[in-house]
Amino acid sequence: MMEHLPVLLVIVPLATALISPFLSLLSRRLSLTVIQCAFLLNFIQSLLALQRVLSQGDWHYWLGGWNPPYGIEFVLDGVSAPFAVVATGIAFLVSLYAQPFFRKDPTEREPRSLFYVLFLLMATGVTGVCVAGDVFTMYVFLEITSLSAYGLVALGGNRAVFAGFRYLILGTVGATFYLVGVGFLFAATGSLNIADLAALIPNLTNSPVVIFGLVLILVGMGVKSALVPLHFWLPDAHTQGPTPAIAYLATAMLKVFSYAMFRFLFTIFGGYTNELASRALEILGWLAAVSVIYGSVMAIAQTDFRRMLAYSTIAQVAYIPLAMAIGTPFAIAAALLQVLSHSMTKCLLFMLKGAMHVKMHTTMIGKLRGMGRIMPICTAALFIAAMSMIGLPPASGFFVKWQIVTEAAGTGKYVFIVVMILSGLLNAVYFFRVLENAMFLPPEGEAESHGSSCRDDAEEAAQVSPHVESSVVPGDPAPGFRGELPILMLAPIIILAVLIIVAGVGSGWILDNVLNHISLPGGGAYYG
Amino acid sequence: MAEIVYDCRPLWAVLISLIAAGLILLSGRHRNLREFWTIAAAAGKIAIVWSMLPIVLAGKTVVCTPVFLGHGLSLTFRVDAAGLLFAMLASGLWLITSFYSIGYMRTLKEEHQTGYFAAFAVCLSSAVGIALSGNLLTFFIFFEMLTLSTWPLVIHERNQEAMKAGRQYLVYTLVSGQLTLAGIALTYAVAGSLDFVPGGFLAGSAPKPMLVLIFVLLLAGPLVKAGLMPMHGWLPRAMIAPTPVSALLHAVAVVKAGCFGVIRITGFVFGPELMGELGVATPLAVLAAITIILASVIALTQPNLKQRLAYSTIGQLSYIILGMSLLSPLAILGAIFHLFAHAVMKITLFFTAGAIYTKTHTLEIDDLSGMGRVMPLTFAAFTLCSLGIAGMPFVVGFLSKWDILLGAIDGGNFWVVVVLAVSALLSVSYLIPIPLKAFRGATKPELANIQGEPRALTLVPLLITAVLALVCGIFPDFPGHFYQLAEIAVRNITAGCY
Repeated sequence: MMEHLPVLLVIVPLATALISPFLSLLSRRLSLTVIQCAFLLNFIQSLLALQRVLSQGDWHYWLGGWNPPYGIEFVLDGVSAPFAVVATGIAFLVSLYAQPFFRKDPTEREPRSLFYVLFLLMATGVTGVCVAGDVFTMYVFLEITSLSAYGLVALGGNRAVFAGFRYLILGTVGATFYLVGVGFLFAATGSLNIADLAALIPNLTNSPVVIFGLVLILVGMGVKSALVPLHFWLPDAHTQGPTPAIAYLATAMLKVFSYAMFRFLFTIFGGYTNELASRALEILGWLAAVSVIYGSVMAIAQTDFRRMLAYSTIAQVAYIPLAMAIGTPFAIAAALLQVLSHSMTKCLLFMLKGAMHVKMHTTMIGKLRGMGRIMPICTAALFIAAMSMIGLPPASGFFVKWQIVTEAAGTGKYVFIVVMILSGLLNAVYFFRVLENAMFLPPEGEAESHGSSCRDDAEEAAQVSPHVESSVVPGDPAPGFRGELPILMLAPIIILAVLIIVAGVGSGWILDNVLNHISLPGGGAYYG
Repeated sequence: MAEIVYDCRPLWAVLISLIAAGLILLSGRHRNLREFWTIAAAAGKIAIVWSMLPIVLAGKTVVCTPVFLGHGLSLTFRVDAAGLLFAMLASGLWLITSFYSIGYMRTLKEEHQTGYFAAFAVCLSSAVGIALSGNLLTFFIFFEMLTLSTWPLVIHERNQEAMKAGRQYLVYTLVSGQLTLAGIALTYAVAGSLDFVPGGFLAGSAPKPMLVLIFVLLLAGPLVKAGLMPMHGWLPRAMIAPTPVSALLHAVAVVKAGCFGVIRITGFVFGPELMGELGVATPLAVLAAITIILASVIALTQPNLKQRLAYSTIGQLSYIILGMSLLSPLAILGAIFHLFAHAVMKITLFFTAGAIYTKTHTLEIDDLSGMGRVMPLTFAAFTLCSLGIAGMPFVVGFLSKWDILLGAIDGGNFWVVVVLAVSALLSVSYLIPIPLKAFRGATKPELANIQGEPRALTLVPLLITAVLALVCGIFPDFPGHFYQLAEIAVRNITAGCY
């Protein structure tokens, strides 16, 4: 079985997606169990695959024994294997979270089995892109991911249908650009295999066909990864879609398009060893810089936590192309660290958004007052997530920022230092506003009782039972520690919050032991 | 190079109060248990930190690298004389402040005490982390943690004004912290290392303008925390926090962390020689001198005792910056020792302010008239430390100022003498009238029914620190060889010139 791991990575979620509707006809509980086992299995598979890549180097797998460039090749290397681990890990946690979420949330309808089918397909696509060894297979998986994403967004209710439709149109335009671009490259080289292309393309970069092909591909991926100015589908889609779907959509799935860009710009076009790719990377870097700032500024302007997260996603995902534009192996490692860090953080934030929705029936930032009393654990997790987003130690976000900033300083790209630092500060502006409300301000009705006049009474009350307060948000009869959230929702939140800190403190270990198999064209290996 | 001892004590010194913070949060319902964790962690921290004193006095350094951070960097703790001085100071005063906090918070029946004690513990972890860090990245990590953990304390009162002060505090410290981050990245790019080296490691690593840029960026964070004008705006407003917070954090941990950062960066990243070459020392000295005078003048105009002390702090902290930027060994010695001297005196002053507040519920200086007769011990402590702040001999503040003065003359900076003299006069004139009025003025009718000293839990700590200020003024090496540590640090920085 181990020998066929690359293809099994894809087959497990795909097969489960096909089986689960039938299983749910038999027994809903059985179907859910199978689905969750499939996600867990997929995660374990990707860990095994990563372990093998780390110990034995790149893993080339020929589907059906057909050798490339004729057959389909699956490749796992130092970039795609860690990516797959992040993607499958997040998928597993989200699948846990989703199960009670749909039961708890009164506003979500009952689309659970449909949700799981689409979600499994989306996960299939993401792992598929990671292992794809040729650009057409990559297209197929990209579209599997995207099409299921459109469907998932549309599950969120009336307004979500419109958002999903807009996403569908723009996403399909992006996909078409990509496909046409691949067509151009095929016309110029006669091959679709990545390794093959990597050998052929660098000599052909003067050809207008190749240049045009690359531009089309980058535009297509730019649309899908919501790079400014091609981002406008994202805020609506990520605001309206059902929470568990977005928790995956905004994290692992959105980054897969940056991964595709990396494959083209570095693996195929040769990165900074090639003039065309260098120029493209420079432009990409600037666009990413603009995205980072734009997303953060727009996030500040939002009053709804959901929308704020959506804009913050635009900013944070752009760290990845930004790091790519720096172009050193360490910067790529930093980009992968950002894939890990941001996936965990944003997934956690969306889970918390769902928790607010379920418990407090609002996601408006101004109405989050008193969250610290109703959901102490979630509020602590929110604090950790905010630290990571802003880039404060010891959360993982800080170490990503630190790696990117040092690499930018080392390569003389000082503008990126400014961008990263500005981004951190803008993040601070909008996250501390949330924290102020959620952690420190008392629930609304109680706000005025904090004068000095009735301090004694309040203190006595607090001393008797500091955690159980009399005033809470209406409609929530039993707040307090024990009834915070169902365990399956709370567990992923706690796991992610802890992992953010662990990944932060352990970032050095991750960089030195996991992300050290990144080899770039032009001899740029880890540690030069 | 000094002999190195590998030991994980520095790590435990940092972790112990982090663990305590967790326990405090978990035992919020039982306030005696909660306070027990605070006291236990404080005592444990003292034991760990002070146990490294003999090693450092023997001229060795304690090193510990628990975690690698990639890129060839690691989380490094390196305990040298300067760092140990600050760590001992912070941990020692934490214990005293803990007792005081308990007394103060319980007397005033403050709310959110669990969060308060937890944040306090995290703050102390960060402060000790800053003290013991062995490279710039470690330093920065704890520096940012300090920023973050102080925020809940600043906004402790949870009202509009406190929230505003908290926001302002964050803006000042986060922005400057990010500039420091950029500086650290540039340092790493030009020097390929971030380890603190006595006397600096940046010499000759980059062209002059680049080094000046790095100097400005690196110092941005520490200088804001140290309240150098014109970056001091957050400090007086943060006085809205409860008095023990002002006492420990705004006289000891936070602002002193800023000053300590200045010492680290000027002494262990750039070094006096390179600073002289770059021509950055004189502007810094001038800025510090301006701050000293201006802050003292503003202090004169403040009608509120805490506000007056806040401006006094701003002025006094700039002595450290001034001492470091005069570049002569004696001035550096004075600066490092002033870290200790000012902490002991200023914490007493804040303690007294808080103790008075628990009785009178007002800190307007006019209202305190006559209170000295009611609380003679409290005001005696206040008077003693006021004189110390002004630089009276036999109080600890004299020693550091005398060294800075000698150092200034040594380096030919005679204008500093004038600045110091004017500052001393100003200090006398903004602090001494307070006890004078308290002992001799007429009692306000609405405060006439106040009887007796504050409760023992608040009174004893402030008496201890006051006595300490007096004893250390005569025997500067009691109780922790602070003067000797400062001397060792100076010898390291100036490569034996002292």
